[in-house]
Amino acid sequence: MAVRPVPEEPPVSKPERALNPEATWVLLERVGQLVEELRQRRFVGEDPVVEIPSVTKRRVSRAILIQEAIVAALAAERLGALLDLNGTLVSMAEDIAADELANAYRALATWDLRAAETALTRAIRITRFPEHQQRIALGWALHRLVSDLLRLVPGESKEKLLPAERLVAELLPTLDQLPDDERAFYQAEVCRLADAWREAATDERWWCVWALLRARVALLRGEGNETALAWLLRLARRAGLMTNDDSDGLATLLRRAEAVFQLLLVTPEDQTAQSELRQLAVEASPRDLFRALVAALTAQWGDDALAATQRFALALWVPEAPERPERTS
Amino acid sequence: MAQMTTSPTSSRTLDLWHHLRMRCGEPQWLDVPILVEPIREPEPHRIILQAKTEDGRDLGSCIVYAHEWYPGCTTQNPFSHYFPVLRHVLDARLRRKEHEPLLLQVLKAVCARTKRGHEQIVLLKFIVAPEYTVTGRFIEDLYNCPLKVLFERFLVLPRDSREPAPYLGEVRGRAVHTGYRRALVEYARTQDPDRAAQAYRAGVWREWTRTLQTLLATHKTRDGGAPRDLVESFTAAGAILEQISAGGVASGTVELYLERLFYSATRGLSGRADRVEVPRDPTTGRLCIAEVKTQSSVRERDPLTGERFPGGLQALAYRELLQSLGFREVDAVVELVDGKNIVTKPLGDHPIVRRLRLDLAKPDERIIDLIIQARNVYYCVASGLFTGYDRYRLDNATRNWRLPDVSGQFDLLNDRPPCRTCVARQRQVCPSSRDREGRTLEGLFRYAPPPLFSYWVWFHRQLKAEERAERELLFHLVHTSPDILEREGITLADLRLERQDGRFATFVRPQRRLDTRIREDDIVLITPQWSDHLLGRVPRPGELFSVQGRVVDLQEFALQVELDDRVPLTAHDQEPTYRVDQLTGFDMRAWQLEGLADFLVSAMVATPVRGRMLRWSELPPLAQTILGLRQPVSIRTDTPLPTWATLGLNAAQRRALAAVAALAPGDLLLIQGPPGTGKTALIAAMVRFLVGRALFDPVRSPERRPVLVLTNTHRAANEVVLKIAQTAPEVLPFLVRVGSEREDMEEDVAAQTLPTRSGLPPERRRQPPGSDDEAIETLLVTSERAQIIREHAAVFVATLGSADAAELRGLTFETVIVDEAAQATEPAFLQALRRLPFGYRGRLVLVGDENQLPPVVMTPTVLEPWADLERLGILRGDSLRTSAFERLHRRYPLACIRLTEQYRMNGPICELVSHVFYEDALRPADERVAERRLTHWLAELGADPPAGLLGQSPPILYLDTSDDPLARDSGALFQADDEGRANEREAELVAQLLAAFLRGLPERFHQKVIEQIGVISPYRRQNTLLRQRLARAHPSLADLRVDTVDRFQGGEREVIIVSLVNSNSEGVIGSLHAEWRRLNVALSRARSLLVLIGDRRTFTAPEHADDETEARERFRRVFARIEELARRGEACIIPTRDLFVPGEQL
Repeated sequence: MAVRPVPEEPPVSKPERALNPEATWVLLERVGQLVEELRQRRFVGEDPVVEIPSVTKRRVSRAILIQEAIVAALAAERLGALLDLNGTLVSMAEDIAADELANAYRALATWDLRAAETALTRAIRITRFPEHQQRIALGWALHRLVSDLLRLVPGESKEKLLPAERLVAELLPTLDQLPDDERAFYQAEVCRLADAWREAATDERWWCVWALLRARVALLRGEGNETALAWLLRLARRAGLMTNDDSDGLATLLRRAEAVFQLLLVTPEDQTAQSELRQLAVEASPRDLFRALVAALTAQWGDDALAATQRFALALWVPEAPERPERTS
Repeated sequence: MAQMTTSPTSSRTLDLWHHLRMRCGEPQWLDVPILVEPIREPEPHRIILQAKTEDGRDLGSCIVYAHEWYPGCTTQNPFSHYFPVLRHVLDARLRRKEHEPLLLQVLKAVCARTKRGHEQIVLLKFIVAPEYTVTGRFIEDLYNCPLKVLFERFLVLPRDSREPAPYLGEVRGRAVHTGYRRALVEYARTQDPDRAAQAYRAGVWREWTRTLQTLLATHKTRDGGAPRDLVESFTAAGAILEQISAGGVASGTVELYLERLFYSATRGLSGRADRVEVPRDPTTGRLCIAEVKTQSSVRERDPLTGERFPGGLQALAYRELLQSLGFREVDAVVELVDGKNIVTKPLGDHPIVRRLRLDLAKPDERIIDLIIQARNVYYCVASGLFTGYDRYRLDNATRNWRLPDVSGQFDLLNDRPPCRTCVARQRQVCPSSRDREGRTLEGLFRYAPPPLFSYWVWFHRQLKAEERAERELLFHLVHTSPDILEREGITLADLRLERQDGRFATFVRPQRRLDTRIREDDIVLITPQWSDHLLGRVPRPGELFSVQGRVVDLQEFALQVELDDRVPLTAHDQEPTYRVDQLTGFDMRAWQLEGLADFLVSAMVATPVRGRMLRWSELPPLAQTILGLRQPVSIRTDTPLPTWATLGLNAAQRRALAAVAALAPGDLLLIQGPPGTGKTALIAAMVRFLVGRALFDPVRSPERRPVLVLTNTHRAANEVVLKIAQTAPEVLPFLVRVGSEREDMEEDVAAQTLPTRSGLPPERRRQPPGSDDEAIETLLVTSERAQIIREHAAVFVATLGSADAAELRGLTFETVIVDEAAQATEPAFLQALRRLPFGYRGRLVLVGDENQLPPVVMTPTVLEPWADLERLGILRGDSLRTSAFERLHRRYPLACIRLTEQYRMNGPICELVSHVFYEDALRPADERVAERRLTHWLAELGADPPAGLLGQSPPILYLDTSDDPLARDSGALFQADDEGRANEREAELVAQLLAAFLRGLPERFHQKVIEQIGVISPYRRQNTLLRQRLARAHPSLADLRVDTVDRFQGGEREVIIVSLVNSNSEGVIGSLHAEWRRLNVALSRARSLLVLIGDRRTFTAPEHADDETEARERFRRVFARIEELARRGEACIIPTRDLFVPGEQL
């Protein structure tokens, strides 16, 4: 049996380390001062680079030097300014910008325009890398494209083209910092989306897929029950699902949805009819109707209707992984 | 103890403040001005201020809370703009290091009680910096799209002048306005509808023929008819005359004020309504403002009826403005001339009033909120306090067209910005533009290369500072006593109207001389100085009764003005007197700001990448060169030139022409031309050569033309045309002098203007055809001719200010030559770039001389350059007065060719100028020039040289007043650059010298002789004195040209007399002499004889300031060289102490 080693001296009990709010505020105040000073210089037209105070000609302790460097680094990060590090300019928040950029593109792929806008705004504030800046520019153009895709009803819009289609097409060749593959990918992607939107104008089934997507986005964005219900009713009518056969409950759900709009248009004089209608309207559920319609459409088409909406989703470019280098013995 | 006096306004403020404290918890309407300073930095929800009256009496502290809240208040206004605007303004002032107190016109405040029982004065509604004047049209712009104001009024972004943009609708609007105005005046005068109809046609005709846009943009319609805009402007006459005959003008009950300026110092607003009708009997009616609209893409919409109508906010603002002046009962109407019809909308029925359910009969805070919101936000945005020059803030601001950072209820009007009329959309730089299409410039500010951005900021800040001074001028005029203004030299009070003859009025002040900085061509306001019955007091400048005009002539005791309207004549019980206030000279700032913004945008657009910060090395090569970052390609002077191209040129000129011939697209060449070296002749030769070369290379797009000559002044442009007519007449059929004929234009020059060449000379433009059909037909025929002439033109000559003129719209040039480049400010010079092909792929030639006068700048601002600017060659002490020519010559000395052979000054004068200013490099072109003397000139006239000082003088005569006790100057009269110094003794000496000279010549020569004599002094006051003394000394001398150095630049005379003026024991030479280049110009105007009168001791005394060092040194060199020339017998120095005893003749 192994013998447990016995320390020659009893362990020293270390005091618990706690946050020092006072020191934190002192440091942050200094950061704030530097930020304000830099903002002031920007206000009159300069675009200053943040410099770490030099040690020459000053007799300062190492601790103070470190503190000054931290203050400078934090200020540069907060302003999205460049930091002069031993004569080399570095951008302090590029990793954050890259994350935001990735978030923005992901949000675009899931039609979440608001999240994409927020992430792009954050990213543009801090990035200094030309390729990031150009991806943001592309991001704004794609944001416009996705917005057009959702805003303009296929076949009902005056425009025969998505306005942003031209915007993206003309922007892409000017983005010199992006790999050719990436630009070609998005060029093809924009064409694909625009073609899908155009096809939805002429093809009943694709129009229904687009309407299903529109209802889905309305639900995701919290645009209000009426909006989602309106799209779902239009979809049901177009897909020929307005039936009295209530074997699967769809007819009831549709009647409830219709009741919402009937009440908005005319209030029946008959009290009983009125209360019946109210009851139906209260029970109307866009989510239930959405699910029921997805099921009905899936059954009708023999394909997953919800999966079909992915046709209108922006695909994201993924760089191919570099080939694994051969392991040397 | 001396008692401090309190002004009436401050007493009122103190009373109301006291009253406020007495009624705690009750918000009150105050309408008083106070001065405030932040006690500490603005917090997110409140700002604590220290308040004072205008004359500095302490009012204690006060607070502004966000959302117009105050302690004890249960409601808030989340869209209130007062707090965010004040916070931005205070923040910006702190950042700009402006520490003087901020003026607020407090409209509403409350004394609130806090939970702890303390009393606090809380400001609720106020006008920020009312001294900054905003016009009614601008606030309408802001209300429709705040972001448009940022682009158009802060950045001052122009349209792309390379794109043709015919604006017939715009001309139609102006034509209808002018016709309407003329018809009204005629009807009021004669009550004759036929004459009013003729006046209408004359007005419309004048406007269509005045504007060249018309000539170039008017095309027949597809079916061969006239364009609708043209026809409708004539046919609207019926409706307009009907309107006039139904109005107050017909009944004779109202007095008309047309296009009058009205300004309220308490609202910070000014306006110029088309018409104000003032009842002759105040008890019978109300004052009524009429705003005429002819086209407007932005119209208010009544949500109930769907009716749309423009101009509502503007009319509301004008009404408020007049009420604030003291006119109690004010009505307003908006008249829309739509096609042939005219729709009149009383303000009470206007959609904006109906939509907001405003009751105009009662005081309604929402009206003033609406107006002041637009005014305050405009001030904050347009003056740069909102964003400053922080490129990231600027960019962020453009992301939301409503500028949410300043709050405001802009969302009520439109759900979308009115992009159709916005230039930011056309230039594709607005991220908020709703119908943006195609390639756009993302991040205009953020992604500009740092040197380009810094360059823009450097000049923009200085131009904006000038603009601010101008926007505050009206406030200054209203708030300062006429005595002080007269001392500043910008006002003349107590003038009497001697006569009024049509458009011209003459004012006199026999008992007091008109010592002033006002000069010919200045724009002035004439204001009656008697109490008005409606206003109940003496009106101040800009308060409706002022008439605007242009100074035509200024004499010792009389002033003649060309008026926009008749001045009021009837004074009721007092002697009628008037005051005249200087408004401004010609406003050059707007187009300079435009040129600057265009450079920023065009340089970036030409770079083929988007979406990232550009590197300066990616900008077009010429842009890099202009920035000072890329050396121009080295000069090649060995290009073989055809013989016809070099005829009449000297060696230096030939080298310059060869260098021009060798230029490639994107190249820059500087040519320095000292006085008399034949710059204009060289330009004429360049034009001839470039046109000739283009004939052999006819393959170019129709929009591309061979050469454009731009000059700083009309005078220089005319000189270029005359020189071309003289030396290269074969070019004339292909030459267009841009613009219409001017009074000072020579016949040969006027013949080259487009209207004259296409058959519309001034006399024809003044006489409208007998019928509408005839007028329309004439316009169509003339337009066709004008378009053909323009199509075949190869050379255009224009001023920098008219580089965006209609004749040039849509055209680009292979070579742009800028004459007088050293006299143009750098932003003015940038106009030249606007005419080069896309990407600045053209040749740029700058001709000038930085040793002569620098650009004229009204209020120069001196800034400290930062690191980026130093890389561009902008040094400490540089300002708008540093021309691009000077900076680029400093930066690229090898890119400059200097002309060294001069044709003006004789040997000794040339030696003096060359030694002091040109390192002895300048020499007479030939012996004939070098040996020219006064006797030669007189012999050419057929006269013998008279006896006396002038007649027998060597080429340089210096009258030294150092020991002359009578020759001391008057001291400074004005607190401005032109200090208004005068020297009676020097004036008398000049007069007596010239009188003696003339007396020695037979009378038949007098006229020819005085045409060749010039008297120069830097001070306008001295020039006035000189004119008086000369006229008194000899009748023929009344016509002698006496002028400032600045106005003499470019001119020459056989005899030049320079009166230096400054003579004082302190050795003060003043800022005019501190600019040593003025001395160069003054000395280098003479061909045969130069007379210098001045106090050597004053000018060679030790300097008082750093900026005088160089001037003193040059003066020392002048006097030293004169002494040396005197030793050689080529100059003569005469002390004046015993030269002239008053009462005797020389």
